[in-house]
Amino acid sequence: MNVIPAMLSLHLALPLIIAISIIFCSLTLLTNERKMYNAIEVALFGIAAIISFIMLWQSYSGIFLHILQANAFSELLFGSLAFGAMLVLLLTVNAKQQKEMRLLMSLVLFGIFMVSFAYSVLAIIIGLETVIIATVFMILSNGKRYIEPAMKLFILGAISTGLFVAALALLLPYNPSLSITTSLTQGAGRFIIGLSLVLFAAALAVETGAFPFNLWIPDVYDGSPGNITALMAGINKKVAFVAVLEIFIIMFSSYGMYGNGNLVSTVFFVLSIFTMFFGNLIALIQKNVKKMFAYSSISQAGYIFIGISAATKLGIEGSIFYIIAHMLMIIGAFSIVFWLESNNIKNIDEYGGLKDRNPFAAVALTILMLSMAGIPPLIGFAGKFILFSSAVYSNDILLAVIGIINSFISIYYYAKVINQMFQKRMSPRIQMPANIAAVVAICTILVIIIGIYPQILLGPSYLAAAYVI
Amino acid sequence: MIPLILLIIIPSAFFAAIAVFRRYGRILSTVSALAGLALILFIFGSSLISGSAAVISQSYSYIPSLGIQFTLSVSNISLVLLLMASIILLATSLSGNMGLEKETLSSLLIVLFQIGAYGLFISGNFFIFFIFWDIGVIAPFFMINVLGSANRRIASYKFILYELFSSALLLTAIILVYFYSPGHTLNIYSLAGLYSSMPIYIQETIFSLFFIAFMINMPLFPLHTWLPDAHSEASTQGSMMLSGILTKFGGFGMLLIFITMPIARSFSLYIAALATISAFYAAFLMMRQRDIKRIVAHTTIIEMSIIMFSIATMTAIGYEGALYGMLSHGLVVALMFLAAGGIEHMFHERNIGVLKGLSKYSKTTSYVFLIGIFVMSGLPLTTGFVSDLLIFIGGINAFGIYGIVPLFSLILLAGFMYLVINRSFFANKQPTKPSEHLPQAAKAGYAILLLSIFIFGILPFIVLNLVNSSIL
Amino acid sequence: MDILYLILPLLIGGAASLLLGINENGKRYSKYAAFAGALGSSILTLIALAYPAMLQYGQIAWFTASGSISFPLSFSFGYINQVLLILVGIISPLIFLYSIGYMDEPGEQGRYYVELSLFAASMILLAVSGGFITFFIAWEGLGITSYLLIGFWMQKDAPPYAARKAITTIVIGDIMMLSGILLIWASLNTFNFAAIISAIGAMAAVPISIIVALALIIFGAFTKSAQFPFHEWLSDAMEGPTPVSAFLHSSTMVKAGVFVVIILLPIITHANLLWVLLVFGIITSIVGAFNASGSTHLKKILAYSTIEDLGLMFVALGLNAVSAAVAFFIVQAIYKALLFMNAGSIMKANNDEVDIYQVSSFSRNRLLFAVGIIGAISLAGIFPASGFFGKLLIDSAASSNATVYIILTVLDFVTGFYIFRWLFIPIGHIGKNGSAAIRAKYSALSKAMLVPQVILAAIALLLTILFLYALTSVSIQAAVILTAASLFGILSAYLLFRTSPNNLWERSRSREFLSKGFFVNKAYAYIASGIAAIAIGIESIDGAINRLVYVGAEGILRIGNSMRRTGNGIVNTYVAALAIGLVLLIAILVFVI
Repeated sequence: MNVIPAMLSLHLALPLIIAISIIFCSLTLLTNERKMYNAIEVALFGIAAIISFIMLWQSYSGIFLHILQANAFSELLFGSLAFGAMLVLLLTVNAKQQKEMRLLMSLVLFGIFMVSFAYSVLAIIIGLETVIIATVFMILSNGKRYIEPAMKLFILGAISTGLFVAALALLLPYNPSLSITTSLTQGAGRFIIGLSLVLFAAALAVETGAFPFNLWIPDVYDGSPGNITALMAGINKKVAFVAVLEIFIIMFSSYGMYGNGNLVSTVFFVLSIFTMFFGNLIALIQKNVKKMFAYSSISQAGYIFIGISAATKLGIEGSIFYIIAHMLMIIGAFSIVFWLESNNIKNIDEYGGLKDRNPFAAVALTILMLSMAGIPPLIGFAGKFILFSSAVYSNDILLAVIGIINSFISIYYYAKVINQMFQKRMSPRIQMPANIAAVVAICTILVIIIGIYPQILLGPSYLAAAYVI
Repeated sequence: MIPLILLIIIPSAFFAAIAVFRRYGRILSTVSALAGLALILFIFGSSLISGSAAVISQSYSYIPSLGIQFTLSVSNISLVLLLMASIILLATSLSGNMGLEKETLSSLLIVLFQIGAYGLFISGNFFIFFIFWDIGVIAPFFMINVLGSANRRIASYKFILYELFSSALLLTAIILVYFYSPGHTLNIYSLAGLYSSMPIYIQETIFSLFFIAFMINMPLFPLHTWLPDAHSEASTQGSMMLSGILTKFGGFGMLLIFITMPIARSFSLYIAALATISAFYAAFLMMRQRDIKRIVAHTTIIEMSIIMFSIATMTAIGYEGALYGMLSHGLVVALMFLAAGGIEHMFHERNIGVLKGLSKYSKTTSYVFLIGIFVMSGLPLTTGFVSDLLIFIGGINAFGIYGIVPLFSLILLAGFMYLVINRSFFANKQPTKPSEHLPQAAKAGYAILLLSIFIFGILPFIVLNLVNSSIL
Repeated sequence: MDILYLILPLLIGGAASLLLGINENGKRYSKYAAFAGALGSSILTLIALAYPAMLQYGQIAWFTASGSISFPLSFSFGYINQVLLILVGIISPLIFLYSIGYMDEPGEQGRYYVELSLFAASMILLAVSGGFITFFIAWEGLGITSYLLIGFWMQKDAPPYAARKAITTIVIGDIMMLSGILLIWASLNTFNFAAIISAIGAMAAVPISIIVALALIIFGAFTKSAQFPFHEWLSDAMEGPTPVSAFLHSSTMVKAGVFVVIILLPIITHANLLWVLLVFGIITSIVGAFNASGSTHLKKILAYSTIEDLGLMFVALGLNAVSAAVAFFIVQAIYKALLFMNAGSIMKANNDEVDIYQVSSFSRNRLLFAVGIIGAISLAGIFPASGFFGKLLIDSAASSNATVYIILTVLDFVTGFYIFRWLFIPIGHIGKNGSAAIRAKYSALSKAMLVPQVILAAIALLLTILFLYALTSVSIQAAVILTAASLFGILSAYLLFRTSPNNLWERSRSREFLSKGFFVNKAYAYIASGIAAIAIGIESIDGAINRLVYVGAEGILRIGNSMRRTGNGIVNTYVAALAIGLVLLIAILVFVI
């Protein structure tokens, strides 16, 4: 298989594909709407993902321009997130504002690329910013109704960026190259570096949705159209997690232990506990499915923090695994929510009898929710097992126990929806459009397959984790 | 030795087949149960002939980064439970989904549960154990939630919350075992000698977590409240599987931890006391029930408490008694739920205050129910007698004269059951008229279960000779 | 011949009659199949008794548990086994024959005969059991068949209730018996009677666990042998068909308890538990005799009389007079079966009327009357009926104990009184349906019902010869006292019921009191409601546990509810929370560094 790299030098292939995608989408803005363009765009996303996976397979690594670097970590996460972005794009192919969506999605792809392949902190901020701005415009493109969530997202994104830049400014004297591989040690200015760490944490906590920085999330998720919610929960948040891993695990890795413990671990320990409980407890009483999933995705972020808090290879492996796992689960779930929303079905009560109205959707949503609740043999269980194990491994039994308690609490609200869906109601059947069905099917099948044989994803996650820590 | 993974692959294949050929759901699930039974009989027969006492394990690579393998093991305990499970599954699939249209779904869930039950009983490490444990919980959840009767929603909710709480504890315990065992092993059988190298407080924590998890599943007082609702609201097939097989998950786990964990000895006396209380408590509670399925559900608590008591004796004969008790109880409770389901189907009524003189129009079912009571009260030449003998010999060996106390809860059980049957079944003055006939298929279910009860009751050495060599 | 072959014909006959009973055409032959089975078993039994050398018995390995603990089926053929076998062998075919006449509705015959055959098979198994496992199998078989047969007439009001009472008592007894068996096993590691007796006999002091075990076995035996306070089920058991009463509830099944106590008597003596037998035997026989005097139910009088007889057997055992007990064991079975068959014939002729004041006399059928009198004098203990010797032996055994002797003599009087009350009251009574119809019915009584009675009456008399031949010395004084007491009883009955026009006894307060059965049933009811009260209490505890879980869940939901306000849609809140979070993080920083 040396043919492919020979044909197309891989490190150029990805930027090329993204550039083509952006140019192509810009051009299609000028022409009439054609279904084929959507197909081409989806294909481009798919090719990007595939190239990334091939790079992973070929163990390709390298550094470019002191801004980007390629390694197993970046390749795995870019490939997976690009794949997720492709799924989200697939959701929107029939939307009326598809032209704008295409362009904005290709910008999102660019953002994912920048963050995943970041070598410099600058690449991370550029990537994050691109993703947020693109998302804001995506929401806005749906009409006047959506100005409010777009503005909220924009404001919070701006604050996040501000905090990020402030952290960067504090860091500059100690890390003039802004490279994430520079190890920051506890020499002079350790308090300044610590402050910078905290500001980074706050900035990324806003975007990853850690409590108490996450109050905007349910509001914006609920206010936005379902497909963009899927994007925000499935891609934006995960991109922020990639940034978290890069900054805290790579850059601050040797910022070492202090009197009462590792600062990174402590910060994420606290954030993890708060976030899990916050998301789950409020999700318990939600009547609106979309909001419920919004809160649920908050609590799921808390699980990812467990692995980061453990800051061991196993923990990072688990976090990477769970980032991808949750992306699949939440995109699948929000796709169904998105579709039902367009049929004016929003509340849990209205989900009653979904099994008879569209068995496929009911079964898929059930599987996805069971996976989120951590029921084996689904992907969520494999991820949680590794995360909780990593917590125990680094002697944080408390964190593991809280994680397990939270997965138990989450059963309550997932079961509520399942309970409703399988009730008998005399309602007409509703048809699911083929593109949404495809997204749901892909997510569900992957959730089951990787769940039954987690090694498919665990192997690459392990490789990726080896680069990070 | 045939690959044990066949026991999982075959039902999985049938699961897929039912999903495709929806019209043949019941036939396919029956064939699946038959195939499973044939395989298990083959393994059973070959172990009986070879008389090998060793646990047979087969491993496949699963999660190398954690050092977790997909290990399947067959011990003597699991063989007996597998045999029981396949007989019940066969009877369950064969007797069909009386009066309900959703037969495909029902068959699918039975086969899914078959995967869970087989997988659990042949799991060689706790990771696999946990996976199949939860599969075994999800299938009955839908059996209650979708196919159940009037109060199914609350019942299924309670069921899933309790069961998954139990599995949360189980998960915690498993993770602890993983990190404290030398060499990070989760292998159920090879852990036997390794627990003692862990710190005492960790052993105690692990044991308590396992114990409470299994205790919820079995169930024991005071964590039993989910059971009467769940078992009585499930569809007939669901009740048969729940009471017959699912409660044995906990029993199986209890046997494993008591046999392998030396720390159990410091708890066994308290656990035996708890089990005794639980048996009497449930017996008294049963007397307040008027719903025939709830009554049968309460007998499950009583019998499982006695089985727990037997395990807590920590004697070889006590373990055998518990195993035989599970075999006996699984078969008989499935029989009784099938009979109760038949009554519900025929008379559209479950309240024993309303039902009168059932034996007039449903002789078979009435006598089947009666035989069920006989077995539960320990009639010789049925499995009930053998298990009572073994259990209480174990009890006396371990606790002296107090070891006989739980036996007296059977007076309450039998006394009340006879009251029920004589009021509602065998008092024919003003018999209730049935609105439907009992399907012939249900009679086939009766026949299979009765036959097994008598075979294992009259020829107990079939099972005991296997177990005699080694309980594991 | 293996000893188990003795029950084979019965099992085959029972199965055949069940199968025939299901078949429309075969229904009529059901009874004959069962009778043939019983007769076959009986013949085999008699052959076995005649040529004991032919028999093979001993231990059959049944199963082994835990590697070494074996559960064998043991059989034995000692004298007590033979006695019980003879009784069953004689009575069982007679009962089947009687049933052919008595059970004349064909619809339910299959069920009846299979239950009866199973019962007879269990009885034979019990008789030949040589160890507790075999014994307990038979014991449970007796209990269950008895339960089924008592409740045989499901379409009536009372039988299901009576069956429930019987089975409840029987279950209590079964559990006590099983507990005792297991406790004995735990001490001695054997189930074999002979081994147990020799092992305990060799002990200097009997350990407490064996005493408890023996007590449990004795009380288990009391439940089946209807001893106070477990005796009330037997009077209710009269709701079953009469052949059942004649077979199970007077002559055979109720002897199971006596049988096991006789077997274990050496160790009961060794464990100093004879007083239990004596005390409960005396109480039971008093209760039984007086209840019999109070009742007006044709069969219940006999049932209470059976209770009294069983009590007397336990008295004899309590006095360690095994031979007296065994002698009474035999004669009682014969005359009680006879009397029940007699009562059944009366009922049959009177359309199942059971009140002795309503039935018309059986003096119209002279044969019936004659065998009835033989039964009655045998029960009363008048020479030349064999009952006389049974009572005489027990009385002689008690002669060393003045209190017991006096009580027994009073009971002799009461026995004579109530059985002749039973006999006299219906005499000359016209009955509701007019005499002509009744007379026709009496003369139409099936031969199958009369023949067994004649045979039994003959046996009751012939046994006398046997006793005269076998007994070497009898206490003349005791014989005189017994005869006097009984005759006095009969005389009182004659005076009260044959000569006096206004019936003093029947309207007296004491009879009314006695007919209430010493409030034992009321005590049962109190116990039952006590258990029900506990059940209510437990139920409320259960409710509390449930509520506790709900309250916990509610609490968690409430926390969630109160936190929901954070997502109020106002950006200011979000930014404020963010600021707080930042402060929190800085606090962590300060704390950690």
